[in-house]
Amino acid sequence: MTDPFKQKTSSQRILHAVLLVCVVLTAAMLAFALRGGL
Amino acid sequence: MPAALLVVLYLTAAVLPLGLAWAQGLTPRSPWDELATGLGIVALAMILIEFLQLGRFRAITARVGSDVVMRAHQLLARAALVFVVLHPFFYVSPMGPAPAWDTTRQTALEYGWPALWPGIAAWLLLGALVAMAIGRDILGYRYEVWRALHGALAVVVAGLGVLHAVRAGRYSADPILAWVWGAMLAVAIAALLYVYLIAPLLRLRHPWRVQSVTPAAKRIWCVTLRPDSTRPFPYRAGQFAWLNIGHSPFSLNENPFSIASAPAQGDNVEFLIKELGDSTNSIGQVKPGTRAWLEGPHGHLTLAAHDRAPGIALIAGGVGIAPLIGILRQLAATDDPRPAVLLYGNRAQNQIISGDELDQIAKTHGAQVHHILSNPAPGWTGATGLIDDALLRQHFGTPAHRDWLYVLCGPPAMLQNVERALLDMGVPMANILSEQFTYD
Repeated sequence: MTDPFKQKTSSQRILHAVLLVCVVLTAAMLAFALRGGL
Repeated sequence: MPAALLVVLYLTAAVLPLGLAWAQGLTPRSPWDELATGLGIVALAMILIEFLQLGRFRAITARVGSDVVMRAHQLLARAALVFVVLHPFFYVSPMGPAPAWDTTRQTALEYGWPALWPGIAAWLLLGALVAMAIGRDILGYRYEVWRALHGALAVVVAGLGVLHAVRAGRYSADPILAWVWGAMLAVAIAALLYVYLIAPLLRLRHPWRVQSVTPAAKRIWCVTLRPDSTRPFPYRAGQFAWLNIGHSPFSLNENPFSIASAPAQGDNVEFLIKELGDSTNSIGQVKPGTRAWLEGPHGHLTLAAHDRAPGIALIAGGVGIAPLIGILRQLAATDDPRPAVLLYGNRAQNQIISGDELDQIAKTHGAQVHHILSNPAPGWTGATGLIDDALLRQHFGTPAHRDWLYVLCGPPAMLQNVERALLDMGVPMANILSEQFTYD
């Protein structure tokens, strides 16, 4: 199993940054979509 | 922390249009319709920001590295493509004319062909654009042809996307959001114009000439340029520049190469160029005196901001030695008292670049130079194999070595292995600088 506290390589850091961006943008889109309620 | 700041700036720009749509206060439609619109708005913002992630803006590349910027450009384009592909499929409201009372288009989607065709065209062309980027090597286009097609297609996709948004979008019809789309498109096109028109115009005042082209190792050439103007090239050892030899400064026929010289050695700039089966194959035939142009410097593979590192470890694979030889030359030329160790991996002895000069620097400056060959000829008495965990521990295994600065350049697989090994040895990521000389 991957140790979550292990330092990340630069490739992993880029991938994590892009994933973070995608998660935040998806959350923003969902919040926008659900602002009127389900 | 510059990288974190860039992520925050990116997110701010990417959600700005969505925030402006939200701020209009229109009565929301069904969540599916709103999600479809949200996907389209965010994707269009991401596409427009892609134009700023070209790896050509020094304010960014000097902080996080061009290879990181380009990797983010590639990955975020793929994410934007996913959002764009999903965008039309989530709409559930009927397409057709809205009743007279529905002035905000709450009950029906815009259905007019003038509004739809730019969206359909952008939707299809974005897929082609990303496919053309991912399959660049398979397609086999010459690099400059590919770049021209990629840039032109990207402008068309961005323009059609904005046209579709302002014509079909319920929120983008609002004057403020429409103005923001126009401004973002203008910034995107201005970024391209700067790189391909304004920057070359400025370069006209700073021409270079080829001083010499000499063989450096098997299929690797040492190209030295001398400035043909009085302006010095403000680079740091370890950086790279886009090099254009024998073409107009506006030509797309330019490639990024690491600088192998050191600023402390004088105004001439030296590159080590490997024949890679493209335009680099004819580099050995370039005549001295040929006009050349340099765009840069770029890259963060420098000792700047690492003055407190007690020692410098340079780890190179193949032609990845170029920026590291520049750093080693700078250390020697400035009599830097810090210990320096170079691990230099190659397949065979005839691929070693500047072997005699490296030996000389080892003798006069006290740097340690270790050659590692993966496929040595009989009689080789040096180290063999790859630059692996065991070798790194042998040279940098003490606790004191954790504070050293590690500068890496080489093939991606080697870099990943070395980085992983150094991190496992307890070296902090902040002490590791790496740059890949291929992006993908």
